[in-house]
Amino acid sequence: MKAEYSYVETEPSDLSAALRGALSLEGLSSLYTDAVSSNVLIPVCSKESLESSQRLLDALTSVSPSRYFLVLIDNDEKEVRTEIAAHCRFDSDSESGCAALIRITCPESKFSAVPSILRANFFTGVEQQLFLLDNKVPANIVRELFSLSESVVVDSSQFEVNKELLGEIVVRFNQVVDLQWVALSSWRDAIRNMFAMPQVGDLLRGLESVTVVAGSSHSFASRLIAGWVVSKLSVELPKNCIFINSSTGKPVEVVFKADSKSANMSIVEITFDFGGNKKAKIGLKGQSMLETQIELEEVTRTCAPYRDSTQSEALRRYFTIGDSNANYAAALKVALELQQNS
Amino acid sequence: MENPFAEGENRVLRPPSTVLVIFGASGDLTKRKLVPSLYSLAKDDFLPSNFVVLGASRSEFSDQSFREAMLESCKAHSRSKVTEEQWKSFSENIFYQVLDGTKEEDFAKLHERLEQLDREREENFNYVFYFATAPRYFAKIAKNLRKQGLIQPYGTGTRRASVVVEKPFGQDLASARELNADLRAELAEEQIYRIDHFLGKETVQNILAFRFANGIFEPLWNSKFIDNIQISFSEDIGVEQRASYFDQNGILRDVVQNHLLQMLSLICIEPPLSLSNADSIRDEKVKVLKSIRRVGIEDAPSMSVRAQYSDGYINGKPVQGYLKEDGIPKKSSTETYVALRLAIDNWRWEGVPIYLRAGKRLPKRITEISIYFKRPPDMLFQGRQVGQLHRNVLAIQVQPNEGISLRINSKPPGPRMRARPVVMDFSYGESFGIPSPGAYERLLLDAMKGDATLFTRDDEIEEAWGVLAPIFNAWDSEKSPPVFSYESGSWGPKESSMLLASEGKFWREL
Repeated sequence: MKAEYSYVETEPSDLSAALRGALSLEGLSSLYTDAVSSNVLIPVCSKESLESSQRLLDALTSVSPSRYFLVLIDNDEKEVRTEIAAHCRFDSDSESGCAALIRITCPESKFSAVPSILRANFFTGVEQQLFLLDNKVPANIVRELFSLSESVVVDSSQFEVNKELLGEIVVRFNQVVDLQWVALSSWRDAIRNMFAMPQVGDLLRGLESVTVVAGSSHSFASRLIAGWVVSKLSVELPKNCIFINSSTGKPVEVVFKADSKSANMSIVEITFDFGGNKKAKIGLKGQSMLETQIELEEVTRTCAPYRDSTQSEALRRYFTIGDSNANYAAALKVALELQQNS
Repeated sequence: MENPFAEGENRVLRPPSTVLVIFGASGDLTKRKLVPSLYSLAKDDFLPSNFVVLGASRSEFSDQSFREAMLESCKAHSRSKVTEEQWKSFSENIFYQVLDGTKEEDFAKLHERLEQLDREREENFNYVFYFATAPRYFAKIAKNLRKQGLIQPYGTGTRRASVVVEKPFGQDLASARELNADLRAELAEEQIYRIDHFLGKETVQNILAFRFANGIFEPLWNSKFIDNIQISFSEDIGVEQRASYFDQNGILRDVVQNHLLQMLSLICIEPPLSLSNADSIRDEKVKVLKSIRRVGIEDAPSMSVRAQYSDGYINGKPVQGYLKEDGIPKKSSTETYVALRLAIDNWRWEGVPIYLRAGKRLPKRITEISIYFKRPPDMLFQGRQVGQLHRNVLAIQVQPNEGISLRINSKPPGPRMRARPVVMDFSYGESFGIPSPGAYERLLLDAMKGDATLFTRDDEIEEAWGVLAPIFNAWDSEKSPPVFSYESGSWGPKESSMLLASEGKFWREL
């Protein structure tokens, strides 16, 4: 459901009071104060990102009642400008939620005034989450926002040109949610399920190569899924896309291919080659199914539903279902290494 | 002889007939707090049926001009809307007397005026003398009152007379003792009401109700379950019009010695024998203050951080640093921010660190007591993806939005076992349907009723100074620790965070 937001320009010193007033108009101020679970910071720097961040807000406000701070860096502005909006929804008699939005627009030269506005208006006692989804936000501003945040939601595919910042995020924050990682959960599930079959799991000893085919605009997704695979099979970082299988000591090659016909799709296919014509492959079938194909003496196929996730969908999935983050840091470390050498 | 009619009558709503004499009535306190509070009390019908305010100071006012000035004050500062009818009946009880507190002859005129009021109103008024003046005048004014017979020895005479004094109660332990001794030379302790207006706030009073009217919290209120206690006093303003006073005192004297240590003592006290006996509660508060570990001068730097605000932004607006403020010496080393780590050596609190912080030009105005509970054993969640288990935090917000909240971990809807923090809360503004009275309203009423529960006693003042004495001594010594700097609009110097980080703790995000 698309939410409607009517932003009202408000003085920075009046933001919290104005929000309470706006929510009172909606008749739900106590519901809001009972339910706020976090302060969410969303910095954006480009018009495209502003539009996608609005879609993001539509998704977020329906699953996470929070106070949202949209920080828009716009060098056409001369001064810092602040606006508020409130949005409440009623899903049923017993389920409803409110979100408060504060939009801060400023030129990059005036950003130093923004942290004071943020700190003054953070909802007390709940955590600050930084949503880092626009790679055009200047790094110095990102780092300033790091100091205000306790956890980060990032789309690593946006930051493949700024690996240093990605690496910094993982070191600095205990809680990192990478939407790219969330979007790969179906692939991870499929790989896990495939190797759960004893006859396939036994084949890992003979693994010779892993080939990942991705849409041509999604190269980092392929590095990340490969990074996860490698981190599960090897204790060392790969060198020149070759890693040592810890259980056998044998080298395994990681190959990356781009599928220009599937430019907008993320991962298209992952193939595990065990040598001697034995392979296991997971690939897209159409656009809504993942097919697992195991080629031994016979060919065995299974299918599972699949949906390629946009940022908003990945976020919605994260908030409603959640995901396992335990292996993310190790996977990212390997992914960054593979990115550098491939 | 104890009054047999007072037994069990602990809910006297209306005090007996009283004249409230305010010395220093032309000052800010009268305009911003005292008379506006009295107006609200009048509007809510809490004042005595026969009540008079007599303002007194060296400034030249007539009864009428003083009433006009107070009308403007009430319009600007009272929480109650000023109506013509209500103001008319209230202002008929406002009078003014030109008086120099150091001149004995002026007190003779005061005496005549008070007797005249007795005659005109056919009353035998009780007196409450409010010393809204600098502390250096307290002893002189008290002496003059006693010489005129306006204050009789405690327990004698036909009327009750008491004195209300405002902070600061001295500059240090020695001066506090001296001030107490000067007042006690003229008055009994029972006649002295020392105001700490924080004790008049509903949320602060609610600490005792919260702890002792609920069975679920008190069993957890000890070192077995509590990890640390934080008390934060944050202002977004600078020194404003108080530059001279503030630079001589600093924030440790201005708010920590009184407000923060008072809140700490209420949070940490043992159950008193009675909630309606002032000394029962004050005895327990003094015990807490006595139990706070006194450190040596050499240890004080490791348990305290002091700092001054520098240029920065408050709510997006640029502000200048402390040393650039009007009236502040360029080389001032007065602290505008302080953080302390304290320890209470008793059975209940052994091993629980207590962190206090107070500062000006911080991001927002908020005062909060945050009680961090220990993490539960996490073996049930090992191997599962539960997100980060947050500590439970009980937060008592004293200002601006009075209320209490409890942070717990809860599983969000969905197929996975996850835990996310959620907040259960109670807000004064929304729960009772009636507005909270201002702090001064409650305190003025109690002073008129002769209830000293919410006022501080001489030994409380002196013990609070005793807690801080090593810190002041360290700061004044040759090896004084540095005064750090923090940007206006930030939460203080990084050294303050390091004070907690060394024990694996962190300041609560306010």
